Amino acid sequence: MSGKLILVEGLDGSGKSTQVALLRDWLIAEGHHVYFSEWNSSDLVRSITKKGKNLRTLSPNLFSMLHCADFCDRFERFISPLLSAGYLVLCDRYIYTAFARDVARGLELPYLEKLYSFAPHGDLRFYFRVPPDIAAGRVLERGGKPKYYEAGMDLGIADDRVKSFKLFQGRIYKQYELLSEKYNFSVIDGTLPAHEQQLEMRKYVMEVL
Amino acid sequence: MTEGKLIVIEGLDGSGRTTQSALLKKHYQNLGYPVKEVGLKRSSLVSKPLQGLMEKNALTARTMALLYAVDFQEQYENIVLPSLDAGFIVIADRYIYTLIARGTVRGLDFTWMKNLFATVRKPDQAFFLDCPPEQLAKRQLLKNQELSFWESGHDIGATNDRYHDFINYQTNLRSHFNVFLPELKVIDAAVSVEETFGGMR
Repeated sequence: MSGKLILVEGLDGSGKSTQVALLRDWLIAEGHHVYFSEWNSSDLVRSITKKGKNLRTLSPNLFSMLHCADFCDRFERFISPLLSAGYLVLCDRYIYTAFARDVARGLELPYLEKLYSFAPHGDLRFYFRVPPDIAAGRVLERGGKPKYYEAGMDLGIADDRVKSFKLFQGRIYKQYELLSEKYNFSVIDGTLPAHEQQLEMRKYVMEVL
Repeated sequence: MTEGKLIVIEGLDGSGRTTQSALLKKHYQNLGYPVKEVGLKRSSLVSKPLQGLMEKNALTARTMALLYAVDFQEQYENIVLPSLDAGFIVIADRYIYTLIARGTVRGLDFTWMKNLFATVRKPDQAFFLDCPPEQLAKRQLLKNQELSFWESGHDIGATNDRYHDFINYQTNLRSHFNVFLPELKVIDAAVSVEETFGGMR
């Protein structure tokens, strides 16, 4: 028996984490075996990435490789065996996050596609589409300024953290739009009311279950 | 400004790379060249955590390959390239060849491994210190009184006979270097330190 892999992608502030949490609760209530995995959360690799981020010494290449190592650890120890055992695996961000961010940092997409070629593309790929200025506005409203790498400060596109964040999010948005086409994302309008987004999501999910 | 030179010394465990690197360093310094050395698991970012994870044998082969690639990339960007730009002789004790061979011997795809190092520069000179596994075992035993877990390939299969595991693993690993032999100058390293060094010069 083989499980299903469902993933959500989108900008910071697109609402995807809220929606995937709701979906998770619903699927558990429906009696499914559900496993949830977040981007950059490997208990073995994350502390290394964090150290590099704090020191601000990560080049785009190193940033990319470390996030791949984090993903690989989670994929090979948890996601892949759980899928084989028939679980529903939900991922808050997946390889497309790496594609969008790393290309926005100047890396080549074919290199990244090869790098992540060990991972399947998933049964459902949700993309929460929100215009970058709105998504950025939500993040800034939550309070606290964006972190150094979140804002793409390593690229030197703007001295001001908020300005850099907005520009960088714009670049990532462009990449997501291209990836959405190429990888046939299931697009959710992230500006709709939350419950409408959730109903839309469940419709897609019921089709693959 | 003169570009420096990148010299790579490859070889299996116990082939004498470290000894030969030190001799080569002295040789170039005596000639008046500035020398920089790099090697695996020496980056400030991952060497310590990677060592800890390996002691626990906690990583899958692919994650280990990726973290070794991070370790390599950090030294490559921060030491190798700037030193070459500044005209240094850079001596690398192992290079991408070992990293790729260690991955493929563990079942990872060759093109996937090569892609990890797609942008890495070729060395100006690369040596492979060649030595039969039986002699490598003898040297490692003289040095450490044991054959280590990793040098015996115990993460990918172990019997109760560590000596033969070491021989089998090193033989297998050696065969994964074959694809690179056209790029490497094979040096007979089964002979004395001086003779091996003579072969490199």
